[in-house]
Amino acid sequence: MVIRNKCGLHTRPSALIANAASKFQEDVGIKKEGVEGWLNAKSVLGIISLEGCFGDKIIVSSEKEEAIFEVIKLFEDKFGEE
Amino acid sequence: MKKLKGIGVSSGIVIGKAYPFKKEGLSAVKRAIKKDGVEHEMAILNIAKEKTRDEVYKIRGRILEEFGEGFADIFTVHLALLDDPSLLPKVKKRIEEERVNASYAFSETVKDVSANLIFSNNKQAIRMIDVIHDISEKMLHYLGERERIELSEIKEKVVLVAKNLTPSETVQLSKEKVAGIVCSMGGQTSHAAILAQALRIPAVLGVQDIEDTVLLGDTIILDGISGVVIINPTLKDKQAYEEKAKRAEKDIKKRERLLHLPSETTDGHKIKLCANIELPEEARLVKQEMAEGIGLFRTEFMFIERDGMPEENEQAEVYSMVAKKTHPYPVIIRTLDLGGDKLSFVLRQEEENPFLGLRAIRFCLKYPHIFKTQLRAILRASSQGRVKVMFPMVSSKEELDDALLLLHTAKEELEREGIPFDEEMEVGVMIETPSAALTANILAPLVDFFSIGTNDLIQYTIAIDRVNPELAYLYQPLHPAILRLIKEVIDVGQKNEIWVGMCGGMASDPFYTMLLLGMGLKEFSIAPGVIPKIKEVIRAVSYQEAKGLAEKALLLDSAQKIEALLKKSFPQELREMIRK
Repeated sequence: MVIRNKCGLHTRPSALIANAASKFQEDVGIKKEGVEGWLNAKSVLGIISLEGCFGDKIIVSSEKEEAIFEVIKLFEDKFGEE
Repeated sequence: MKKLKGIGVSSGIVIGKAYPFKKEGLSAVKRAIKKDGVEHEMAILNIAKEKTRDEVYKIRGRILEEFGEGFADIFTVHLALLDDPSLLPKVKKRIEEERVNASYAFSETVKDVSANLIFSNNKQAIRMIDVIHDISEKMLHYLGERERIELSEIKEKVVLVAKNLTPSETVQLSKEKVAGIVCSMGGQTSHAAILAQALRIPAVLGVQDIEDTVLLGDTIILDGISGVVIINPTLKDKQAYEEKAKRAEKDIKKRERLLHLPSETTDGHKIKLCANIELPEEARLVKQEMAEGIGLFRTEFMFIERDGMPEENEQAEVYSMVAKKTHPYPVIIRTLDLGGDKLSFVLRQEEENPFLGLRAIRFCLKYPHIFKTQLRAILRASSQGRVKVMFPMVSSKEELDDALLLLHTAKEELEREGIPFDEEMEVGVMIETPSAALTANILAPLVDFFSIGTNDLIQYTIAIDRVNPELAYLYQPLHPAILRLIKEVIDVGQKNEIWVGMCGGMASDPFYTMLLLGMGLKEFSIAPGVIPKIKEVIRAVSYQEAKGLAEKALLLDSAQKIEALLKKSFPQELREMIRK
């Protein structure tokens, strides 16, 4: 997914992603393209540390497909910001 | 006397007594725990977490009610943080492994997390640290580590001076007790700034070491616009700022008073003031400025800087959102006003004279699939509020005929598909070419309204490129040719019983208000920020004298003379509005 909201993954979008991922028992991983290492998508502190900016590509993975869809939806909605 | 400079984040001038607000750091006393005490520490950690969560929920609820979702969302971050797998689980691990008390384990973990954020150089870190501190202060309180200093206990009206204020602290402040805020941390985008604005408490942030410089009871001046902070000012400074504060207060009062007054002349002639907007979020300005709708919603933003054309659904959603927000007032949606040079999803063609080229309605008629998609989206939105559509750059009846035909086709399609729309949706033409203005009587029977776009009308009538600085002196809104065209369009509108408004730059300049009013303009669609100014002029003049002025102006032979006449006739008490 590409970050499309102008302000990037600041505190609020990070919290929304963490909330969405936390609804699922299964692990949900998140990483920024070009950066090594997966982070826990349930952790707002982890997501913030991605420093995702407008235009960055973000990759999400999980055994649970629905979890991925939930997160994708947030990105598509630009976190309700625009 | 000491003069300091910070970042003004919430406007207003305050002179008051300083109240330094010192907080303990995030440290906690370390105690060793026996093996059988671990369970107890875990339990009080969980209780503290639940109490903190309850408190955040309560604050969030209050903010939601008072200021809306945008502000309440700050506290969504608090909640996510409380459940963060890299926070409390780490504290638990620490309690277990190091055999220490919960509050110490907590404070150490938080210090680590904050330090990591600070060292990461992350731009978002500051806001996150804000939230971490907020949560930590609550947790440490509920863990029994400390008493809390309640800001709500401040007795007299003071200027609050602190290192930083957490979001929860800021929202606890009441305007009655806190006249202003000065902090050494934070900036334009920090939570404290956003909340201070919402609470309308003047604030200056980012004033270095302010909490160590100020003593209880010091006199302090803060200017929330320039960011100036003066501690124990000289008498001269104090008087100057008192004067400034008085003026600022007068301006605000005037604005607020105007907000609720109708836009009508002294003899009761009513004028409609609407807002021009570019982005859907700006729809909220309609309520804020008490405008009577949106007179021009530009739709270009959806089309530029993207790979493909915005789909019908996406467009319909945006238009509907704006229509709903503006309801019960109408919104006039202008169809795409661009040339192919700005769109990456059509074949680019170099044009020698883009302003005279394939743009706006011409472009739309050449690419009917793009145009029809937009018309369908606008029609769909018309079932969600009061929507009107307006075509830009029309220069002949044929163009208008073609556009109306396509609109008709779009309606038929929607009807067949059983999709609701407003069958009576008003259709208008933007009058911005001399040919449209001169043939207004031909176009009028086909539409419900005209809206005059002065920027292009001036450029095309006087034949000047309005972005060429060498020609700036020729850009004369008061050129007799322009006034005659405007007058002609308004007269044709009256004869054909359709309303005529103006959405160009001329309508937004208070200098021209009286003239346009006198010429018979019914609706001014203007930049939201100038609504109070235009309203003030309208309320200061009578329709009779405006009509007299317009008649005189139309007889003069040059822009200079007309300008002189307008200057002379401008309401005395509002003279400072005139820039020229």
